[in-house]
Amino acid sequence: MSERVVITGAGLVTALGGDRAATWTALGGDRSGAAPVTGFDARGFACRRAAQAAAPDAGALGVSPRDAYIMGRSNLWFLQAARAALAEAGLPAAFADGTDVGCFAALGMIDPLPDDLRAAAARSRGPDGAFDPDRFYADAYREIYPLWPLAILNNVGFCMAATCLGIRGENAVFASGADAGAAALIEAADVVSAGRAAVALAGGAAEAVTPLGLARWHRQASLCPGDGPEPACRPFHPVSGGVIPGEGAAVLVLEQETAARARGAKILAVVAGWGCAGGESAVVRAAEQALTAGAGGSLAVDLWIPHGEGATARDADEAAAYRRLWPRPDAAPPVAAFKGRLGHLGPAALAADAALAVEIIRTGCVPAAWPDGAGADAAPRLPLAAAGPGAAPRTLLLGVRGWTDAVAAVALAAGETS
Amino acid sequence: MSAPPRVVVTGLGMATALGLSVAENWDKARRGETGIRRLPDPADARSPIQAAGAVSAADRERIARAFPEAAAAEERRTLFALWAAAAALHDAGLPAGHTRCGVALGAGLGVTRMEDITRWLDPAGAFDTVRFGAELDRLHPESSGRHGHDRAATCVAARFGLDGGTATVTTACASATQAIGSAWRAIRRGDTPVMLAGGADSMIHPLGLVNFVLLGAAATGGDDPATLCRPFDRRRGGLVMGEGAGVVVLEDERHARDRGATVYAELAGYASSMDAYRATAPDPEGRGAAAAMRGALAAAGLAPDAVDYVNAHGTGTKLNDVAETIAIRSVFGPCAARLAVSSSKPLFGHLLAACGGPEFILTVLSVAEDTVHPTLNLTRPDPKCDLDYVSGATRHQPVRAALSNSFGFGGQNACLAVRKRPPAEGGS
Repeated sequence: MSERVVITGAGLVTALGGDRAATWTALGGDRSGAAPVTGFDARGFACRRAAQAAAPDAGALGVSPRDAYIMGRSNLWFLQAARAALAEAGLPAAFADGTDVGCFAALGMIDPLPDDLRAAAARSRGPDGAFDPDRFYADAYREIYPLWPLAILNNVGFCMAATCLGIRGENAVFASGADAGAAALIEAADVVSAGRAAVALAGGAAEAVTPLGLARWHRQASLCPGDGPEPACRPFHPVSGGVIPGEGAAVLVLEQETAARARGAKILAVVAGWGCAGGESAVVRAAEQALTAGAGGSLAVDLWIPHGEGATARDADEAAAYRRLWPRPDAAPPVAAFKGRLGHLGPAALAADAALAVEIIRTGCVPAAWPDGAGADAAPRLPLAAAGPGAAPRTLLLGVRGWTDAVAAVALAAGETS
Repeated sequence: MSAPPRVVVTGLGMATALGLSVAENWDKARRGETGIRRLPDPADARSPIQAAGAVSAADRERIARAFPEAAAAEERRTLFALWAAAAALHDAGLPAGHTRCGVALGAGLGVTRMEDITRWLDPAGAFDTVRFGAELDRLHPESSGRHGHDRAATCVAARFGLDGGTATVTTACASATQAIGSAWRAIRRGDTPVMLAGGADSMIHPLGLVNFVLLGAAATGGDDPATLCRPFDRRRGGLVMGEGAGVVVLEDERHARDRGATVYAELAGYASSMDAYRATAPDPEGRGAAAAMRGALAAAGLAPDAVDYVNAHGTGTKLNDVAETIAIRSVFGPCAARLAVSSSKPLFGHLLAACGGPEFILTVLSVAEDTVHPTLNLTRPDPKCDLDYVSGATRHQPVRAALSNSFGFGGQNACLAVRKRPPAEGGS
């Protein structure tokens, strides 16, 4: 990178709170956001739990009901997190001339709600009850709300959010696994570093939990079965439980360090490096690339926040990578993981971890990976950081993994690091 | 700090209604042939859309034979991506398992099959989520309940052993162009020396076909399918859907030279912008589109008078074609009068999220061979569209540099700048 890029704002919406402060406070306690699915009757699904965020208040965000329908919950969460991030950065809630403001998001699928298509589907059934294209084409398709096709394009709601913010600059939407969040952050940092944007938002929004979306979760992840009260997801526990889908969004404000300091902005963290890899040893290769990307040589890591989704095999793979990255136990960093508390935020996972990394840098505290008391019966696969105030980590390595084996790593450092 | 590396194009792969090879697509484009035909599936006989640039059944069979393991389980668009990626890698002379090659593909929205709704309606017409949840194995093989946006990119990376990381861009019709631009940036940053980039999409299924009818953007007339797509013509009636894929190999120029690769052209610049106007219409002044073109020129270090050709987004919708014309005029000023502009969409339809892939390939070939394919079906120009759209026949002219435009629903604009391949080391 030609110019250092820093984070000056970080907005977060999760199942544990509608902003970063509320989420952080809840993480300091013993709560998990996981709860039985409430949006629909999920009794037929193997996994019936999710960490569901509160429905966004479109009116409070200045979004009309019609636009809120098109944007959907995901992009409204994104807008909510973006507004919070901009406020923290001391930047306008809406730019008057946003041609030099970029916006890069990682978004998931926007699944049709069955109710959107139910009337058309019912009129499309033939005598045998099966779908009859002739009936559909004849007139049944006209039962579909004409703007519905926009509502299932994830980028359209993103554009509407950007329009609310007055953003007209460089942009992209990446999809749809956790690795997409790294793509968004990396490209945002790139355009800021190169001077193609004075400010760029980088973040993501999780998919809202819907019937079709939960179906895909079952194919893409090793989910935690059931909906009981027992601790559902315990990353790096020998019996980790499985993945819990999460909802919410996270957005970071990125600027060149010199410009941010010149306007007196508080530097929350420095984007110190990144790496992407796939296939065998991807976790190791991505991490090594991230740690050697900066001009100052290899970074020493004080805290590792890996993907840690709670799926036994993938957690074990990361644990093995940890031992390759830091073969000497006395020189190996402690580990933090939040998906046991917030669920798996999919494309928003990396930005959410980054927003929490900002809090860790600010407070010197690391939240517990598991709800209090969960998993006390067994030692974790990795040395999880002790909850509460600790060694005040200054350099943190974040890791994410897509639905298959696409991996990315991002290094963040405390603001005063040169 | 050293300058970022130049990025060159060393491999091309396509799957469109015109055919499964780049040579076939390019030959037909130059001859002015179209792949837009009546929908072949009798089940679509009553569709309000009667024509599309559908990949022929014979060509889909050929792809299925090449990737039998994927044919049974994957979406149609993923198969197109696999085919185009294989062709691009072969064209570039890159072996499978190139561990320093990443993948960036544009992808469309999830495939929603009406069967996946009707099957689980209860007798009262309500969707039975309980029964649905218990019967997930009955979902249609192409259903969005099975596949995420990133399915094509991850399948390509896995199939060809490309370990440099994957990215999927979902910005509607700008997706593939932004994916190629994102790959260009990754190489310039030094993240990886090689990227496979482009896009793949298909929405030729009942709900996909009516989507653009509901939005009022599709050409639904009863015209001859071959003349239904008419960019910049006063009789244009909307977009005509296509399907397929276009994938290229991008390389750090030094990497390409070191391995003796053939270079088609240099991808010299890329930029994106947002209209911040309306979700349903482009900015009528074309300000966002113009910003993307200006950004790409600046990134490439090109002055407007150094560009000879623009491969337009040119959808054939009333609003896009006028706004794009205004944008081109505002960027090129007096130079617009000598600029060749053409749309590739009458050749194989609007490939939606993938459109930037095949259109970028035709742009690269235009620069490489000093040839501009015509805009088909432009016989009565709209007075508001007053540029040289190369109507009629292919034009052989110097093409020193060219732009490839893609503008997405929602207001995301992207532009790629291509110029002649850089001279060999030691050359002039």
